[in-house]
Amino acid sequence: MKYNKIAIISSLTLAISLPACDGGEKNDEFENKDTTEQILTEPEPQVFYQIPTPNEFFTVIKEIGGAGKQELMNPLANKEKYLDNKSKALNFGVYSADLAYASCYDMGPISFNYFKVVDDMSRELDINAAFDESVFKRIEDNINNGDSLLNISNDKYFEAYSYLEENERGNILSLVVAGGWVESMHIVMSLAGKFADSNPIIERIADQKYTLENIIDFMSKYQDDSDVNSVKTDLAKLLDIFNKAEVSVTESTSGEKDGQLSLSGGTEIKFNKEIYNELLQAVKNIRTKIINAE
Amino acid sequence: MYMTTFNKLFFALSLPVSMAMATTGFSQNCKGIEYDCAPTKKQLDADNAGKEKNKNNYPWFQNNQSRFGTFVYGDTTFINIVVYKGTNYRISFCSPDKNVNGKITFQLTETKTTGETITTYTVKKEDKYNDEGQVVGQDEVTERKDKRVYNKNEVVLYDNTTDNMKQWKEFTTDKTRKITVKVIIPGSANASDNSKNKLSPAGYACVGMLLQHQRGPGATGWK
Repeated sequence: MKYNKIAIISSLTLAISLPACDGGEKNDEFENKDTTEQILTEPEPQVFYQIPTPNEFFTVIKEIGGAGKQELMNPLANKEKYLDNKSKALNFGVYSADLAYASCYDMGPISFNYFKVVDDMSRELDINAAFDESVFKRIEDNINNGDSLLNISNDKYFEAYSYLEENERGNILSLVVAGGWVESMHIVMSLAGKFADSNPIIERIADQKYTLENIIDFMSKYQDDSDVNSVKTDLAKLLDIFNKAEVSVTESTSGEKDGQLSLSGGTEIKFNKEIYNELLQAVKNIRTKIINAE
Repeated sequence: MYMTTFNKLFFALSLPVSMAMATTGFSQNCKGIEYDCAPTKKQLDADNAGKEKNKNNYPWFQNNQSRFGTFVYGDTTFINIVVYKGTNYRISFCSPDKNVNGKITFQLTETKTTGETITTYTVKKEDKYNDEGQVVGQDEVTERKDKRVYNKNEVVLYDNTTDNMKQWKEFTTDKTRKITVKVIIPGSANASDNSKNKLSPAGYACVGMLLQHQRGPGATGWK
């Protein structure tokens, strides 16, 4: 990684330059290290790829429609299949997405069970975002309040995300994010039903290309990890399908409207039936592979 | 551009520390700073004064694409976010470092790919044959080649340097889009004030980016 190289070069420079502090002659030597200076003063800018949570995606979809259907979720009993870190991380993401879905669509008692499985898996993955007793009390008190459950699940997902990132466990985090996204897509595509040009849910599914791009870019940072790389390869195949969709581009404009900045124009992605069905099948295949720990 | 020996030493000393933190852009001490970035009611009221603001009393939620991080003075960072159609967003920046707070430059940009066809013509000589298949001379033939070239262009949608260095912005979008937030941490010639600030030791600054979302225009069925 370029930053690590820079850090090494910086440390070397420090080691070389410290003895030079007491001697005038050696200072000249330090002055002449122009190559090092160039590298030090022009570090590569940092680029971050942020990914909307499944909660946000479901909230947007709920504005349009859909319903809570338990059969779309990964069965709780499958948890026993997840023995290695890869399948645990992927399915922590899957169950987190299921939890967000259940909370968003007011499936109170079902949500409670998914809270438990997410809690168990966060402990198994050594993620310091496990629920304490007070959280379970809050969940029980709000079992029929979808908004509260959604907030709790959202907070916990964010805590797990932050914890993994802060502790430089980006490889696990990228698997969590990938699993969560695949499960969200599976659920939303199931809710969308058969392809129709005018279906607003399908329009939102097409927009997920941007999220997928960010996920793949994020995973690229950790692709030296073979588990991450294999999942990234699967997701790249989905992106290839998205890339077959028709794209219409209008000029991006921005201007003040109703007291706020309004962004309009830009790129619109439109599926046809064939591409949509290809994506549907591909998502189904990847999801089956993930939840069966294949 | 040449640096003084002091500056070289300053970079050499500060960079290994800051790079180690900036590799992920995170610091435990910096955690949660983004929660302090939301503009105050007073600031919002002042900003909205005299504007025909669309009345909307829906609550603002913290978006999980918010970020905090520790950055070297003068650093530029790019944060790629996805914003959904029909949702209002508010993005705001802050820092506990007084050299940085209120002086963060940010832009909302988008990458547009545009295609153009570049046509080239090459003149070639080809043998000319008679009816018996014998070469009787040469003809000049113009060959046309079309090549589709794709260019990536950055479109700046908002730049706070043209808006009095405002540290937050509310926006909405009519299409789901991927936006790159370009953040420039101001450079500081005098970092001595920071040595007393645990969150921002000399040389690097803790910065928060808070993204919030709210039900936007045209949304239906929001709960």
